Amino acid sequence: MSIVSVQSAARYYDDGPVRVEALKGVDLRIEAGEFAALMGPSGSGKTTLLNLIGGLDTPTKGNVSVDGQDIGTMDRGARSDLRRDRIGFIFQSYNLVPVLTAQENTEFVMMLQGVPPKERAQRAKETLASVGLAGMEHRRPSELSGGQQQRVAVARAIATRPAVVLADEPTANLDSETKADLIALMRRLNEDQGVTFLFSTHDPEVIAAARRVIRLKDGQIASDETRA
Amino acid sequence: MLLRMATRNLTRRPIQSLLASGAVAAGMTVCIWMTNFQDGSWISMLDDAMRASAGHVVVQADGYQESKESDLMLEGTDALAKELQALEPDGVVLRRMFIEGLLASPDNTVGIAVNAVEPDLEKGVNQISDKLVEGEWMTPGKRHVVIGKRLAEKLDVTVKNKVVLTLAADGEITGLPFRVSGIFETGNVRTDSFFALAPLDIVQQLLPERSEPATQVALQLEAVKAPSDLIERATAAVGGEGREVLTWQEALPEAVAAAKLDKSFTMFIWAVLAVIVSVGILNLLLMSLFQRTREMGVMMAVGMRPKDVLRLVVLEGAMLGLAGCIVGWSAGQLLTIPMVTTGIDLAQMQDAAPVSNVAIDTVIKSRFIWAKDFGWFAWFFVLTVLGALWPAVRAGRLSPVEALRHS
Repeated sequence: MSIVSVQSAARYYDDGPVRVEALKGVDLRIEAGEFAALMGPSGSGKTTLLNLIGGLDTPTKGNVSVDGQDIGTMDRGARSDLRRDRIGFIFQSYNLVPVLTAQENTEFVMMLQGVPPKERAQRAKETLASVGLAGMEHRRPSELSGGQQQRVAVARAIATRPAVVLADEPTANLDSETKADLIALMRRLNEDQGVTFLFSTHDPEVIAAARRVIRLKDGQIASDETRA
Repeated sequence: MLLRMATRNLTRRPIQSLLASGAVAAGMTVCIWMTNFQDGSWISMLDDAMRASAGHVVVQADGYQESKESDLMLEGTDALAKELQALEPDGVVLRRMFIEGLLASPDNTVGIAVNAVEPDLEKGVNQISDKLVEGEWMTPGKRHVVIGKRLAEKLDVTVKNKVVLTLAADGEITGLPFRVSGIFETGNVRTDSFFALAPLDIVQQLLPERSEPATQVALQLEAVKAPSDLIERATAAVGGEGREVLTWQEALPEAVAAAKLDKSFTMFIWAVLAVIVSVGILNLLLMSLFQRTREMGVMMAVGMRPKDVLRLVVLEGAMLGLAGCIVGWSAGQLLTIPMVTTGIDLAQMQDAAPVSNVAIDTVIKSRFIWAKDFGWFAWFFVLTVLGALWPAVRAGRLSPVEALRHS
C-alpha cells in the first residue's frame, strides 16, 4: 500500500466572484522510502498539494489518503492526530517555537503524542545528535544559525518516526554550504533510516538530489520522472 | 511542557504581561482593602449601635418603632426581663428608657436626649463607658448623670457639679437634681453635645404613674449572630399584649439601610473593576495571539489539537490572573494591617451617622473579612480565565494554513 495516495484531487478557492483552480485533478502515489521532489513555477500548485497531503487542507474534489486514511472524511481533530502521528513537517522559514529550546522543539510533537517525558527526552537527544546538533540541545532558536534551526526542524519532523516527511522549500532560506549539508542530511536519513521525503522546491541542487521529480504546471502533473 | 510554554510566552513580553497582571492586582487590592474597611467598619458600627440602643432581640411598646413617641413605654419590665433572660441564660438583658428633656446648670439650659439605663449592665455593653475623659461611670440608685464633653462646656459644669434634669411626661413637667459623675468624649459632635446617661431606677422616679417603665427591653448575646429561632421564641414568649418584638435589624432600620446603600456603591465599583480586569486580560491575549498567529499555525500544523491550543491560551490567561490575584490579595491584606491596628478617625463623618442617640467609636477600623477576601480571589481568577476564553476560542479556530501565511 502506498504511503500517500492522491486520486483526482482538485482544490478550488473562491476569491469573490472568481474561482481559482489551484489543483485540477491530480493523481499521485508516494511509496515508503521515496525521496521525491515536487517542482514547478510559483502558482503551479506545489504548496496546495503538500497542504492536502499534510492534512492541513481538504480537497474540493477527489481523495487524498495518507497511510491508508482518507483525509477528506476526517474532522479537524482527526486530521490533527494524523499530522501528529504520521506526518513530519519541515517549513521554509524553520518555524520553530521560539520559546522552546532545540531539545524541547524536538520533543514537542512527542509531548502531543503523550510519550513519557524520559523517553521523549532520550529520543529527542538521539535525534538531535543524528542531525549533527549534539551539544546544542539547550539553545533556543534565536541562539542558532538558520542552518541549525532547519536541522532542529528536521529533527522535530523525524523524531516521531512519521510515515512521510513533507518539506515546503526547505532550502530556500539557506546559503549554499548549509543547503548542501541539509540535502546530504535528508539523503542520509532517507537511505539509512528509510525516512520517506516529499518536498516542494525550485532549487536545482535539491532536484538533482531527488530520486523522483514530479513537475506541476497549472495545477496538474506535467511529468513524473523516477531516476535510477 | 504546556506550562513551561505558557510561562515563557508570558515572560517574552514582560511589559505587556506586567500591565495585564498589574491591572488584576490593582483591582484586587482595591477590592480587598475596601471590603476589609467597609465590612469591618460596618460590623463595628452596627455592633456598637446594637449594643448601645438595641440588642439581638428588642421588645418595645407596640408602635414605638414607627412613631418614636417617648411616652410609648413598656411597664412591668422586671418580669419581662426575666422572661427574656430565660430564653438565653448566657445573654444580658438590658432595660432602657429613651426620653428627651432639659438639663439645666446655674449658667445654662440645654435640650438633650437621655438614655436611662441600668448602669452595671450597660457598662459591659455600651462603648460610651470606655469614653470617659473625666470622673466615673454612674452608680445604681444614685442621682448620677454622665454627659458629653461639649454638653458640659455648654452648661459650664464639671464632675461633681449639680444639674437639674426636667422631663415632660404623662402631661406633667417633672424634674430631679443630679450630680455629674462623669464626662465622656466620643468625637461625635452630636453625641457629645446633646446626650446624657442616667440610672434607670432614678429616672423611673420621674414617672410615678407607671410601673417599672422602660422604652425597651433588649436581649444582648455575646455572639455576633443570634440563633435563627431566637426571634420566634422571643415572640412566642413575650410578644402581644401591646408589645412589638424586633430583631436588631428591625430596631435599627436606618443603620441597616445605610450599610446596604454603602455596599451597593461598592458593587458599582466592583462592576467597573471587573470590566477593566477582563478587558485588560482579553486585550493582552488578543494582541499576543495576533503576534503569534504563525507560531500557533505551526503548532497546529505539527499536530496540536485545537483544544490544546485553547488550553495553552487559557493557561496563559490563568497564570496572568493568578499572579495578579496573589499580588493583589497580598497587597490588599498588607494595606489593611494599619487600618486594623490604628484605623482612621472619622469624627466629622460620624455627625451624619444614621443611628440616633448612639455613641459610635469615631475611629473606624478595618477587619480581615477572610471569607469575602477569598471570594474576591476566586472571583478575580474566574474573571481572568473568562477574559482569556474568547482569545483562546479564536486561537482554537485558526486554520493552520491561513495561520502559516500570517507574517
